[in-house]
Amino acid sequence: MATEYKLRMGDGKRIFMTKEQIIADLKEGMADAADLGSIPDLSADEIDKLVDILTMPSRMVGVELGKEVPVTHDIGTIRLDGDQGNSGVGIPSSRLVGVMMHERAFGADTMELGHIDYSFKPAKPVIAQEMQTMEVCQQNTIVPLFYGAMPNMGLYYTPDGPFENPGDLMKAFKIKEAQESMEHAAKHLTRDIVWIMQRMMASGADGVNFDTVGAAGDGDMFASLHAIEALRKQYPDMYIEAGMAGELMLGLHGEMEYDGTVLAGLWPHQQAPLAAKAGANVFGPVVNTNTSRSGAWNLGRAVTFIKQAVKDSPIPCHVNMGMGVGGIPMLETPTIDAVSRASKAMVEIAGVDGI
Amino acid sequence: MSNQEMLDKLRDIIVSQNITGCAAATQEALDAGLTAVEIINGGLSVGMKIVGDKFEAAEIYLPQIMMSAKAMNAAMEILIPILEQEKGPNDEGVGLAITYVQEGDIHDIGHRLVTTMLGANGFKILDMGVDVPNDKIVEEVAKYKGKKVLLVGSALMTTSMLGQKDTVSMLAEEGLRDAVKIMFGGAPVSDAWIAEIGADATAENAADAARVALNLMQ
Amino acid sequence: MGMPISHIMTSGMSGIRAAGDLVARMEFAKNMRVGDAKDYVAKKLSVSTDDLSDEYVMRELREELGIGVITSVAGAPKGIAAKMNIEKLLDIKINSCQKFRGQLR
Repeated sequence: MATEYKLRMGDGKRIFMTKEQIIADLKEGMADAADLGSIPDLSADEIDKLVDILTMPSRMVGVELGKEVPVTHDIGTIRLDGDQGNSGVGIPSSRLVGVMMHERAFGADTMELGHIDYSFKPAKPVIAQEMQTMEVCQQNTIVPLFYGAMPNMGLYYTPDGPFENPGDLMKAFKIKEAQESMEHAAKHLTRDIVWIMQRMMASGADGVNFDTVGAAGDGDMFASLHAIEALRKQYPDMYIEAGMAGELMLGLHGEMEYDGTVLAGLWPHQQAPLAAKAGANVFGPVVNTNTSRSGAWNLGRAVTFIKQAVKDSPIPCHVNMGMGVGGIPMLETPTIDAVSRASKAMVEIAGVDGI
Repeated sequence: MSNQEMLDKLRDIIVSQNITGCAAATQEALDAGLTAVEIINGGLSVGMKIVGDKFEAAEIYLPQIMMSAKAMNAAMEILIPILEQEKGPNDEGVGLAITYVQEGDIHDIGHRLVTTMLGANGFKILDMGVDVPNDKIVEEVAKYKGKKVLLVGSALMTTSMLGQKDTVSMLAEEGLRDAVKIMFGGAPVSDAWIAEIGADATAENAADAARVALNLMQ
Repeated sequence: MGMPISHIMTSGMSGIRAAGDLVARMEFAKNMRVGDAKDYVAKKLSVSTDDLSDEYVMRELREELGIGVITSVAGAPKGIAAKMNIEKLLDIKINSCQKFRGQLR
């Protein structure tokens, strides 16, 4: 009987696979990415390396000595103090304590300060609190400390915002009106991001981490890129990380362009040059995890996409490797065996500059 | 023009998002003797399947798929009265679609799209919105017991998808499971999941959902 | 928490336990790819690039250079003071240090 190895499904469940099954799934995942993104397959050596990583008997694996990379963090300290049904573990603690714990207890290479709602728009009414907290945190930290938030353009549509919901308009076949609503929302989102970050920079922030760019579609990315451009112009030395929401830029508007490129339908390797052009220092590509496929399928697919993004990006790439992205299972408590294998594969095969 | 050429024309009109052209071509096909069912199954639905595949491959985007849906809608405005006439006054047409997003989930892009597609394909729509608890769903299904009802639930997250299993079991407990056809959709939903929880179907995308729904309700 | 800590243990540079913060700063301050950033920092610290993730090497070196150590050492520069030393060491400007200097009378 062939030896079976312990792997994970995309939802985290334990599965057992033979080496042949692992190779078949790796290749199928790779082919899916290559087909969708019109990008090259991994080499035979890279597939072999992935097989080695996935079949290592240890619970946790690590990158080879000397190949370590900086790890940036999103979601701020919410993973510690969050207790609203999100991924936080509900430890009552101040944000300063959270930041210092990441730096001094966990060994984080960078950290960020984030608002409990973690979107730019709701930070506006409490900006004075955000500024003061940033100042206090900056006085006590050594690692680069960003202000992090999601562009989250959905907050600009009814019932949460001033513009008519494009979803309602589309449903009524008011296509042009829906597109105009997205254009208006994008302008306001850009303005708000710049306004907030001007204040955070005045409070000593090292820069900004855009988390989940494009979550509300191409308009969301359009607004974020314009905000990056405006911030770079005003702050030449500011640190700017542009982390994406998903692998494919959803074409909710369908016609929005940046620098002559239509944003809808872009894959990670096509998104990276635009983030760089806008003025980001670091790009955070995303590949989604399919919960119905094996870890081998997902990792083969994710590494194929990310390798190309790293190659085509003019700036460093810190791959998104949270729940349900980057070959990591979609699970609130991602299994350490799967996380460490995906992490090692991204560094050693995709060649990322950070995580 | 042969019947097949007419159906191909309807297919292409849907793919090219030609709204006014779709109504005219539908009338032309009817005048040539094609039935409403033939027009839908052989022309319009084929076009929507192509549109769905193109959307899936990121070759077209939301506005384009909505324009195709609008073209489909223009055709269905002509065809539904004919279908109703053919089937008599007591016929419910393709049926009522109760659409919603599972409790704990507010992601509604897919939900809205599928709802629109079902409406464009002749379903009467009851849209319950997002974050809908299972007891409300059971309550709503109970109101329409004995009618042609399709339950269409959406969940983007694995965590909210788990609630779909409870939907099916709660309907069974209330003796309503056989009163409805059940479709679930959303990124984490797979054929294996549908089989595991005892639902009826899922679909790859919104356009495909309309095709699957029509087949399910036949 | 399993996820970020797993990444730090698997692939990370250990932050101020070693020299992860310094390499990260060069990626962000000068758009350097990870290899270039490591080369730059290693040169400035007169160590090898492997040493940048080596807690044994960096523990003492960080204290000597006054760029912040992870353990609570009384009198060692912390926060802004450590970052002002990092500015000099890496030949970069750090926003919080600039703001701090601007507030001095």
